Amino acid sequence: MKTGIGRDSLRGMVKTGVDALWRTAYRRVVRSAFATVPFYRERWALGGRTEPRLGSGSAEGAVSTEDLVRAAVDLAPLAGGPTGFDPVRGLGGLLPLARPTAGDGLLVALEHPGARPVWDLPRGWRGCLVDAEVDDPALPEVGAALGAGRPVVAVGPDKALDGFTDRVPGGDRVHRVPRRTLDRLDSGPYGVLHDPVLGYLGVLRDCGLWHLDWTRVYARRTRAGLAFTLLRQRSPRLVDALVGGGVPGRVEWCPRHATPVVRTVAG
Amino acid sequence: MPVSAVEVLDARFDAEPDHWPELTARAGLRADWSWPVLAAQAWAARVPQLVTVLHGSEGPTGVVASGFVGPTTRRHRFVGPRRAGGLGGLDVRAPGTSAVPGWWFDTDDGHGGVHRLLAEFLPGIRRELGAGVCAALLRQVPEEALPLLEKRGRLVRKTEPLAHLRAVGDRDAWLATLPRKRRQHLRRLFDTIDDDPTTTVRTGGAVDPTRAAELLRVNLETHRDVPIIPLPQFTGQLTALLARPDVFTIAYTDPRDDTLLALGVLLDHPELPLARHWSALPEDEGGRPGLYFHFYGELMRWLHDTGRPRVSLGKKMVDLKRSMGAEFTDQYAAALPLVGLALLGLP
Repeated sequence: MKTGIGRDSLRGMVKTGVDALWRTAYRRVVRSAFATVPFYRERWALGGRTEPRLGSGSAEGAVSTEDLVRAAVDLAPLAGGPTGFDPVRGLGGLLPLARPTAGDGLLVALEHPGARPVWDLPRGWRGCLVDAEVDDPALPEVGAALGAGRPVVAVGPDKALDGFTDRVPGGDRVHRVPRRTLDRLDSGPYGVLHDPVLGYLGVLRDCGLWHLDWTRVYARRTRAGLAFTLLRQRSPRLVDALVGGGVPGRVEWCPRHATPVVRTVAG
Repeated sequence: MPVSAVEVLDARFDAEPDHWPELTARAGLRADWSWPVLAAQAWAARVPQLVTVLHGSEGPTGVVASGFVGPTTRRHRFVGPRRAGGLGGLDVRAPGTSAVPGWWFDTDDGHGGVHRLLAEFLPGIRRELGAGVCAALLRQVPEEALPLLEKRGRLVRKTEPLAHLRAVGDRDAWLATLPRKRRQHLRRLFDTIDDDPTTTVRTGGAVDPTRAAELLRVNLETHRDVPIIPLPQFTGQLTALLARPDVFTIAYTDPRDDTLLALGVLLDHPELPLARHWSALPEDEGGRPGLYFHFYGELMRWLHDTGRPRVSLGKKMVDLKRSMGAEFTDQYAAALPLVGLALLGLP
């Protein structure tokens, strides 16, 4: 007879704990948005709600990212804060899961010129922004890192990754992490889930499932599609955003990692 | 005069009363008193916004707007989910503007309505909300009310005077009334802006409330020298306000890319329209210099076209407004303790 806690029941306990923490964090963000952020205050209150109880209306309280961009001025809380969107938010935190590497590496974010540098890199990592369309001045540094045997992880759209690995000497040794949008989730083997307004939302892990960055991102299913909330970004506050115009999908739990994953029709 | 009933309304929870359209028309209340605007404003306020209607035997006899400031009020937080009540004070002021008083009564008490505020409104609202209402701040108090207010235990202070611009004909007729130096400056400026193909001026057109909210935030940032910084007007409030037929905009745009360069919002009124908002894009963000001065010329044109006798320009920038021909009215603010009201022998 086996004694002690089995692996499955341990996973069940982890899932219960993560679920409780995750929902609590989301409810806290919703309450705070209603109490301090003009956009949500007006939208929810004038829509007939007097408390942060989500679930009414055709989109169940969710809002398209286009509407959020238009209303950027009202997304800062009353205490003030930036209203610019950060398309590289969350990338650094996802990096160790996106492409596990031995040792500290160099992250190459293939972004448009003028993008913000990646600011949340893991300790020991360095990062650079490269414009894949041109002979970027950062390319020699990338080549030097490759030559010294340091791991180089490049994140960007497929086309930009192709252009980058062609241009950089030793490009075949670059660890590619293609950027995917919610409506085009594939089976990998590598990938990060990205939205230009919310930043990086999740990662394809070794279990083959698209994991949410659950400590920073909450997702729920609404009639209008999957709605995402940034749990840690104070300003601009992004709550229940319909990424990609509203992509139908489900939030499930990974049987191996006991953390939330998204599954869309395409993915 | 005894009051038969006091009705304390909160537009967050209470539907528009049946008597409201008639009351606002009779009282000559501007667009910011329309119920959808009041509701939007009440939700996006720091404290409960109360609309108190005094009823006589033949219908409403007065209306007072006030905010209820309680101990849970926070600078960076919207009002909580409950109705006003408990310990607190009343901030009696018009919704959204500090250019006109926040009350109207059907009869003239000879004190600009302050006698009726003291005799009817304050006891009435304390009956409704409870004795926890322990103080009141009256704003936009006229000079003729001072004898009623200057008593022991109260604080009366002169605040910034309110500017009015009288209609004196069209823009040229108005220019002719100004001092020579200002006249020459304005003529040059008007010619420059009128002939500028990159600046279009439009009065009375539709303006996107989101863009208006963005632009009005610029002006708010430049006036942070007051003890309680008012909250900006958010998109939802502006949507409700700009949808009103008695709200006019004077919008400056760049026709090349449709950038909103500056915006003035006027709340119409047969006797005293209000220039409620003004904001202009800073020059380093693509704005044009001198649009504020040009706006005065457009205001005079609008007064001339609509036949309104004058327009209120609100407070602040006294010297500049005076040089543009504005006249000023003194106003006061009074803080009254309400605990032991009867003992103090009110009114």
